[in-house]
Amino acid sequence: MHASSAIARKPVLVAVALGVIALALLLILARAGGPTNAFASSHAEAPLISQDPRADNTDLYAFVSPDNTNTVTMIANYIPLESPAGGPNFYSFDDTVLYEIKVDNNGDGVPDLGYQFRFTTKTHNPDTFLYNTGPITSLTDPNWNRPQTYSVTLVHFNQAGKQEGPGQVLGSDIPTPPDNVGPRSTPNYNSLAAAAVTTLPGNIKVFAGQRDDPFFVDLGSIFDLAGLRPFNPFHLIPLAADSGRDALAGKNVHSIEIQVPISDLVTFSSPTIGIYASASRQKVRILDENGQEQSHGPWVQVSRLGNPLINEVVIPLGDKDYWNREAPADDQQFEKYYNSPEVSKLENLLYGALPPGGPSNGHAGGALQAIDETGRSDLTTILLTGVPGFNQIGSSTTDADLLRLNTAIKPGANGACPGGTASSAPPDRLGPLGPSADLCGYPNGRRLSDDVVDIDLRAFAQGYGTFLHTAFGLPNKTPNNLLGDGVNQNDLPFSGSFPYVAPPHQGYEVP
Amino acid sequence: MRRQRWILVAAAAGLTVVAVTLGGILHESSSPAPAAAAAPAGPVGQAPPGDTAATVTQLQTKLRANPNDVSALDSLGLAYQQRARETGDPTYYTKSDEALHKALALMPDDLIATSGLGSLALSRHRFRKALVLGRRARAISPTTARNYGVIGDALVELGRYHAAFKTFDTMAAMEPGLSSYARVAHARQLLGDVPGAIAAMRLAADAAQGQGEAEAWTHVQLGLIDLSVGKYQAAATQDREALYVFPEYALALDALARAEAGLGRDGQALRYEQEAVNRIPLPQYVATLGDLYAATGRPGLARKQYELIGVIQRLLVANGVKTDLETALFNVDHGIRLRASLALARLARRERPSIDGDDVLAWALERTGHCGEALRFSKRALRLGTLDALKYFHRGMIEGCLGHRTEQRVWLRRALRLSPQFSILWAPVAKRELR
Repeated sequence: MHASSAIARKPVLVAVALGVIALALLLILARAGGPTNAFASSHAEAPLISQDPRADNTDLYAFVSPDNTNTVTMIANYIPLESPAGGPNFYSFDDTVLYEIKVDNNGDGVPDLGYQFRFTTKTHNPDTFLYNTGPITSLTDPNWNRPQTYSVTLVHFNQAGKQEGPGQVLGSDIPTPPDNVGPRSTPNYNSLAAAAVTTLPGNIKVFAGQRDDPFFVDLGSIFDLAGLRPFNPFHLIPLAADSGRDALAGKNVHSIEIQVPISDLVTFSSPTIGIYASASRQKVRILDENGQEQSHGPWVQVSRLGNPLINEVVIPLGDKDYWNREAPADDQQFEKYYNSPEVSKLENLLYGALPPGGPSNGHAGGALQAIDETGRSDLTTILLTGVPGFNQIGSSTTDADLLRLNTAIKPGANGACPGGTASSAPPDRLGPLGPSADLCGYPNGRRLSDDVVDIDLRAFAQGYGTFLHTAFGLPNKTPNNLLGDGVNQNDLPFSGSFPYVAPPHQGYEVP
Repeated sequence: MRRQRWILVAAAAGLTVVAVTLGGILHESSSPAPAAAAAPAGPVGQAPPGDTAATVTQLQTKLRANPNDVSALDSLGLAYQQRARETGDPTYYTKSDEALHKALALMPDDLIATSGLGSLALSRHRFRKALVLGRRARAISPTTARNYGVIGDALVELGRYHAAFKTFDTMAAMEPGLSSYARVAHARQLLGDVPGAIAAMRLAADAAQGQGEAEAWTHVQLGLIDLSVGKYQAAATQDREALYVFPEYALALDALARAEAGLGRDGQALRYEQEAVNRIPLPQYVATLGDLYAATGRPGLARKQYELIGVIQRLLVANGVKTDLETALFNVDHGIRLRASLALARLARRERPSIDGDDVLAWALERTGHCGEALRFSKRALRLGTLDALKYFHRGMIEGCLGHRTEQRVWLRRALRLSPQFSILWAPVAKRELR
């Protein structure tokens, strides 16, 4: 657009950052909720800018279980930014949402099998709105007024992605733990949560319930003109360098976790599987054909997640809703956004030249090397097709936003596998981009400790690190390969065994 | 288009959750006392201040540095609309209008400013304008569901129900969720399908759970459906649940007052309506408060409330809100300047040819003795099969005015059977007429 040339460089920049705020605000408005009635009783202003946190898939993780390397653990998180003091109703899964984790094992982008999770909430005492009427000491404690259980169903899909038959119910009436309210309502929380870990026939483990949000990122700085505190001196508007601050520290989320034998998931032709999670809501029509509300669909997918940050970083505003509704098998239509990524342009704009007067302190970095703004086959490879010889499914080059995990790459006892062999070193937060070339990390699946923000910042800046450059020919520009937000780990440590994600912050402690 | 692409960049390291950073604060502030200590019913605890005010201040500061920042203007325009909802102060509409128009002048294809002006037009009851803006937003992004909400809402108020319902179905097929379920519920209610409306609004309530005011809003809507069919106890329970999740919510206080009035508890009704008015002095709430005072034998206090309405309405009009239909109904109901009110009702109905426009005009015609013409519009007002006791009552009075005694009794009985206390003012009249 020609008019943009009339806009001076700095104002454009500022517009960028405030654009983030615009998006943020849209969601805030929804969360603050609130359409009140205009005073005409007939004109009830229903919410227009609404969020859907209970069907909002925030993150997906998939890794070969470090404590049981014959299995894969898949974790799908929903309900962003839960405040631990989330009363009076607290958070729960939505009984009217279909939650799914789906697996493509032949590389056509279409899921071959999937696990469906359906929730049911009971109300013990309909005469009170209270979440609990006393301490909850077990998962069947009648003091817990609204316990939620769920079923797990294994389904298979045909080549068109249509579900074949009703599927096989692997378990039903499986308990979930309550939210972590506080020492009076939920004493001994960890034992409550442990009691909700359930083993199903076929050596499948499941857990669903509130957990600490394992994601970590410096939102505050990124929202301020895409700032990265450690790189403040090199920003077009320089500031003194600082360490990152985790904006999600102290926040909870709802996790659905399933651990499955690898042999249930893979075919003989490929050890790599592609995974995505989704949430679907029932479609309703004003005039239902039979006048009856259906309790089982038809379902419309309202959110999906494969690789992290795709909808946030790659897909433009006007297509975001549409992208969420589409199937990964149809992702070729979005390839253009990967090929000419806006993030890379922003990185060039903000960090492509040293600020006037040079860096504001003696930081070891420097201006970024120019990043390609078009023809980014590196990104389509790692994000849409998988890396040949590493985590491609068979030899398929079909575009699909799937989290691709090579199940043949086994972690050591502590979850790391530098250079592809088990090792006693801790997992490298940068996975294969890091100094220890840890092949068990993102973009080969995704572990809880993987720093996907830094990995993405470097990938979009073509700074893939030595290993990926040498082994797979991906570009490795310097100092582009040093980028990061300065938040390198989660606020709470992860567990070495299922359900891995840290227990939720307690409402009493974290208001 | 360029700026929109930049917006996306901005989400750069962006997160799924991005957005709710500030929303989280709002959410926290809306949490009342710990569950065990909170009373299960009634307006208790402190009012949630909401942090929209802080957001506004922050955006204003940024705009002082860069007055031509389109995204900040967008955000500010939307924040002002939220402030208007929170405070009932219509001057925020004017401010929102200015911010969004400035954004649009800088970036004519801006999706947020276009749909934001659409929702603003809806709030100001400028439905033809809202329709144009909704369609423009849809042209910019045909895959964004909320654009269909703006269009459908406008079509409903313009009386173009067939097109409106098609639009809502499109929206609901595209993106099932709170916004679309609520609209399907409203459409079903218009069509007289109460169980269907409740089913869809329950889905909306499920989708809204945990979202403070939005959740409370769905409970109030469920309560209003109950209220419309005379289930006052069930309505009161929904309204109390709304107040439990979002204390001192004016919309819920007003609805609870009307449910209490239905249950014959005028003292409680007065208390809740007074609290609603204290929170947000919307003309509708003030009128109900006045009616409650009048019904409980305090005409002086009633008159005071009625006098307030004129002032509030002038403030609304000064900020671009069309109030003709509401003013006409209030005046006709209270016997104020009847001939002028009929003219106003005719004008309002032309602007807003919905079943409500038809009904208010029918009622104004009846009150001024034009009962033949009134019958025509009453028939139009009931053409969708809506279960609405007040519209039934209006019809009964029109039939009576025309000397159709049997029909009069049929319609008045129908009104009272549906909701024995359908109106503080008129339910007693309906009962008297049937004696």
